[in-house]
Amino acid sequence: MKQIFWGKLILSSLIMMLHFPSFADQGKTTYQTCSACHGEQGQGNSALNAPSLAGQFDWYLQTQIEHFASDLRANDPRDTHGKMMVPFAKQLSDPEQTKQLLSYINSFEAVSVKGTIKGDLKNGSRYYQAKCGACHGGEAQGNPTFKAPKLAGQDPQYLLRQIANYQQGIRGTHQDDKYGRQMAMMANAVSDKELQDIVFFISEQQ
Amino acid sequence: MKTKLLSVALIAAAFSGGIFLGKGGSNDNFVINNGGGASYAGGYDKNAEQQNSGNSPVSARTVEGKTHVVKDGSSIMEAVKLAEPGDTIQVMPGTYHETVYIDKDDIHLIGVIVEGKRAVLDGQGKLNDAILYSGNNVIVKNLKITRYKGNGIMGQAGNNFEISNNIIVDTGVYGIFPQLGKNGLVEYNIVSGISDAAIYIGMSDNIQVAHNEVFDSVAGIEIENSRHAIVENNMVYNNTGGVLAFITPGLPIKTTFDVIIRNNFITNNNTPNFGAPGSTVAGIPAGTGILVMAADEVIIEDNIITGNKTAGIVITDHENAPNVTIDPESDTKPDKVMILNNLMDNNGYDTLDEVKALMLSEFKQGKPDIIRVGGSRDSCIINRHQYVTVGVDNWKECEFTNTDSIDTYILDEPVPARVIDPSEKGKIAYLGICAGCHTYTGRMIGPPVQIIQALYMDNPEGLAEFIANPTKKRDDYPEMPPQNYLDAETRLAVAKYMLHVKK
Repeated sequence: MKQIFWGKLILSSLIMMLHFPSFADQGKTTYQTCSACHGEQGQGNSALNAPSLAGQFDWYLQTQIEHFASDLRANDPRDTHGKMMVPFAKQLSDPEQTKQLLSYINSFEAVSVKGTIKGDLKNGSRYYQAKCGACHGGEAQGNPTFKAPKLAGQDPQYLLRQIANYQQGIRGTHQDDKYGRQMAMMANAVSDKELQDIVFFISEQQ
Repeated sequence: MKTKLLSVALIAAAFSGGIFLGKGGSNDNFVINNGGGASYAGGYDKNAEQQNSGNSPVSARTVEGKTHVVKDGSSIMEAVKLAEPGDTIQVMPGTYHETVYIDKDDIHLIGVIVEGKRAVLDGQGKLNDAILYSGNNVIVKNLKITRYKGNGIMGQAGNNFEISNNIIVDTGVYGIFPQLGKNGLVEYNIVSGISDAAIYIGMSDNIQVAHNEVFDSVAGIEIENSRHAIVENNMVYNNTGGVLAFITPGLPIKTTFDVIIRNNFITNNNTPNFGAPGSTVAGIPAGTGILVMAADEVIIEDNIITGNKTAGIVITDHENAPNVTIDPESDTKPDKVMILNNLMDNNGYDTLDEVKALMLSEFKQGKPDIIRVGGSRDSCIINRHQYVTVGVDNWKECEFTNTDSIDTYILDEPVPARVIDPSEKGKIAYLGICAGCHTYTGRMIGPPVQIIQALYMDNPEGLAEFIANPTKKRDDYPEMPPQNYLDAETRLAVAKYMLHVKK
């Protein structure tokens, strides 16, 4: 009798597991849509203008998804790459699903982008520390206190494009996008030469 | 007798002439005796500003006020609150855990030393500042200050000050830091264990830093964005860098010039750099005796400079310095640097690879005493053949050999007290307080003002609130000390000013 009971319990648990895939598995399923551009391991794809997601803070990714979905980001017709994200962000209307997706992305190993851009490290270091490090951290590791994302490991071309977007008023203009507006102000405080070296410095960080 | 003198002169002439010929026309090997030559006339004529004579930069009292005696167990700050301008506060031996803020003119805060026992201000690793003063004609003397996190003694826009005979140990970021003061004396202090500058003269004029013992700090004595300063007779050892004269870019006052560094012992400044990473001082290579960065008219004379492993004297422009951004309003080049006689020995014995490469470019090797990188116009040196040098071969000979005719740059008569118009409250607080740690564009101790402007944008109230009650937000920056000794009105005024300043 006892044995039968245990047997039933095990059996029913197995059935439950089949019916309800684990947290990460659900995230993995959702991520299939993302992987076409952002890569199997969230490493990004420069050719498709898709940034790396691996190693990024989940709260930052969540905010960006929300911003894409609510027109706080990619609200300018010139932001063609950003516009591509909007329909996908809008599909993520279930908070639980988003949570699982972010949890799955969180499992990816951060990538290195060393050697993908050239620049002057010393100059990059001094201007990174002067213009960026106070919010994004001394080693571009990001800082949750300022809602500042990690920059290390991000595709240099993506970073340069976003700075250009900020400078041209394509991103960081919405009144409710406080952090975006902060970033826009700083983006306008760097010269092109400084920027190239800054992004080079960032690319050298892990 | 006359003939004898003449023949001595002839022999001397023949001797030096021989060397002259032997070196194929170079006059490098004339040994210049600094006792006999012309004397440097000074960077400016202070008599044009004032006349008369006197000693202390602090106004002499015509009527002596009350004397308040503070005993162990009571509060110095309470005595300051009771004091009127003209009063003296005597602090008896004992231990005091407090921050003292002097916002009145003409207060003399004097420790009473009894059989070697001093009044000790102990911050216990919790308090930020020991003594802050914004009054004019303030004296701070005979205290011992230890274990504060921010400043030992900081002046905030007070003129005519005297900071002397204090012992400051293991106290935060700046040991003695007069900021935006004119006419001041810093002498006979012992300062050690400071993670930025032990003695930091910031944006000030007419300063005398003398007879101090400064060690175990990142920067020993720093003359920054200041003019008419003499650093003499100090003992500066075991710091990362010994004596520094420089321009920090991004500060509201943009120049450093007319600095005399003379008769100091500057030895074994080889302590590994423990400044906050990415900050300006964190860029100082360990083993730097004297650093001149972008400052003009710096005279280095009769110092004993020994055992500094990178070099005895380093002269650089902003472009070649690490951790320094370029300020379009500051001249980046150290011009008119004048190196007179100095005793230099055993410097540069473990120098940087970049320096070795520079030396190779001049076909030199050995242990460098003097290194110059980047541009420098109209600089001069005497007796250069005595040293191993890089970058000074084309400097001319100085036209003078000593600074004997300049006693001090302290003015004979105290300057008028700084009067702050209410409309300028925010500006003066910004210059006198904030600029001690924040430059507009670069990373000093705190984050750049430009970034603060982006973060707070149209929210001066939020910034004013942070100024009163700061929280730690960055792992790699020191925590900001609360500025709640300023009243709410001043805090809001300075926040508004800070969000609108443009350089």
